[in-house]
Amino acid sequence: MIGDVLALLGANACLLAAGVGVLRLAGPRRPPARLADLGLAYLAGVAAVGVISPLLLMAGLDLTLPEVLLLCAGLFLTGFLRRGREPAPERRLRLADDLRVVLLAAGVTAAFLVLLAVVVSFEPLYRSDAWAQWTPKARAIVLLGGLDPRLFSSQAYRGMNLDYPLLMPSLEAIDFRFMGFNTQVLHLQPLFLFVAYLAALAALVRDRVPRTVLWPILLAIALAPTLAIQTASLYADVPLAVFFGLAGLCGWRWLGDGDRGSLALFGLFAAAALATKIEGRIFVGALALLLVVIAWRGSRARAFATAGVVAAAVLLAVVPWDVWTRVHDVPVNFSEGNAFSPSFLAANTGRIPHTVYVLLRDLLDPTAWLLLVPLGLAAVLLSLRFSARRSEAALVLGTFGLSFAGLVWTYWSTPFDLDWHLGTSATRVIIAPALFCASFAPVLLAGVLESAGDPASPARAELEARRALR
Amino acid sequence: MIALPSSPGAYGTALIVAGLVLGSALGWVAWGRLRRLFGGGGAATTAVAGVLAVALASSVGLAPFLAWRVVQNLRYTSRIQRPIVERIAAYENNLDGAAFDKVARIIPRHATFYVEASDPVRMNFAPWALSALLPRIAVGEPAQAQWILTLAIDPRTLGVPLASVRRIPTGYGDAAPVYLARVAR
Repeated sequence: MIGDVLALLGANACLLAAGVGVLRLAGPRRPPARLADLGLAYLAGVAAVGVISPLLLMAGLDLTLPEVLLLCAGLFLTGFLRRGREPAPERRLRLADDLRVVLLAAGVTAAFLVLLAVVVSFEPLYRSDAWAQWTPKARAIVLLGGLDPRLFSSQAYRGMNLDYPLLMPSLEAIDFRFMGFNTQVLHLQPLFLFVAYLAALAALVRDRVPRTVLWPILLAIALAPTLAIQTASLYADVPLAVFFGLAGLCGWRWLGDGDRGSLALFGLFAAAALATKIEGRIFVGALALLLVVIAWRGSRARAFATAGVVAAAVLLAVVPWDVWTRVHDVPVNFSEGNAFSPSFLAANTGRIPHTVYVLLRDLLDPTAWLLLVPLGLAAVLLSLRFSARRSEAALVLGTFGLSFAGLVWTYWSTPFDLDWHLGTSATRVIIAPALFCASFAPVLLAGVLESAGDPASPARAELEARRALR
Repeated sequence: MIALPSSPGAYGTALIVAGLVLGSALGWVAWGRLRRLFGGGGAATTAVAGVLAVALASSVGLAPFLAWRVVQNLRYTSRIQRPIVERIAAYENNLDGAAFDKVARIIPRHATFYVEASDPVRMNFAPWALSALLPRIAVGEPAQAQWILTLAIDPRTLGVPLASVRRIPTGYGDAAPVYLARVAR
């Protein structure tokens, strides 16, 4: 087992190296200097390799070890093709930190994540979608040498949801190439993504959010029971939430700073979300719409750039796979159902309140989330009430609301029995919007403090001017 | 997680109650400290301090219970023997995972097979076979297959000429017979 863990770490070290190159290519950042930067670099590597790998598979390659090593080395070296710009000096935060609070939250977070790593590395592959769909596709890629049409075009394997996106099977296939078919140790893979997400979140907000504001929220995310459980399931919902959350944070940085590196990372993580699960289309669509609308108010060029990057992400992560599945007659399990059938929707409006109730119940379930979601929503409300940077709250609330509406629409139009569909998926599909909302809580709370506490802050001046106008 | 306690039980409940009490005390202290840190008693700073204090209190307070819960899971999973652990989905679905190893030793790699179970109750037989027998390739019709694998169905009833039929011994789960037949070519 130790050997397999080391092999898995080796695979992930390659992904980290790839991400270092991607980060360097994307922006002014220097090679990761802090632990939190490593998290962002690692996830950039996972996203890049995870988006490119399905393209390689479609091109006829089969993700052998040399191919994976070449890909990661290529991404690493690509970062050195351009001269890295000097990073802009980081903003200095005005607020001091309460070290006791920070150390307590960081200590409990670290201890719980270490325990979770041990627990997860002993977890057997038993969740049905994992053993019957996601992981068998990864095994098939390795054992059959890529996307063998005898399997991927076969009705006999239709139950594997062959038309679903390939990021996670590709990632698992890479892991299998490194360590063999150890499905127990494989459970560490999504945990690595989750832990790296917490670090990346810290890295992305470091110059905007005091550690005293950041760490209690990071702790609440780390301990949310449903995130631990879903991470240990080998389902793709937590990876989707991770990429979606990062896309949101990078999009927010792009709106605030106009830094093209942030825009590039937004595009990369949006592409990864699209390549992870079909729900990613709802969530990325909602986020993209909000970003474009908010950007439009400040700069049309920035709005067009945002839309262009979203289009590029779709072209990279959605279109090739959709074309490949059509060309190769891949059995199609996903359908829009009756989403565009007015008569069906009109006849089933009774589904809406039930769906809204179930989704809200699951979002607010303290046994699943503790108080994370209410706290995230409280941060949104406080930001709307007290912060001068209300566009941040609008971004979060709008993206969350549109994502929620998209999920309601999906269940409203489902061709399946509604209760069965909700019962088998509702607790999972809400993870991405919930984590998105929670991840922005530190940003929103810091905005409130900045607006309220510092007479010299531009945010405070803006807030007072706005109040004077009323 | 496969063996999370379905209910807290006495020990878990005690941890929750103690955690809530300690968490509340911690939250109260943290709220005061954070309010002072954020610069006074304005509504905004008080509310932000409150959100952070609740986040801290609920998480730290329940951390012992959450840790206890996953440790209970670990106590179970760490005892599962290696041959079982890789086949646990089969055993969880009332199938003998080892029986598929026997089948895999008989069907050559990359050969084709057709798989069917007798009724929807045994719906996980085929999905497990599709995964466990890779790189052998399943096909949609018995006539296209080199081998036929069935649960509780006599392969001779599938209308395909067979060269041989054997029953795969099982030692766990569904008592219905598992048949493996080679199609005559």
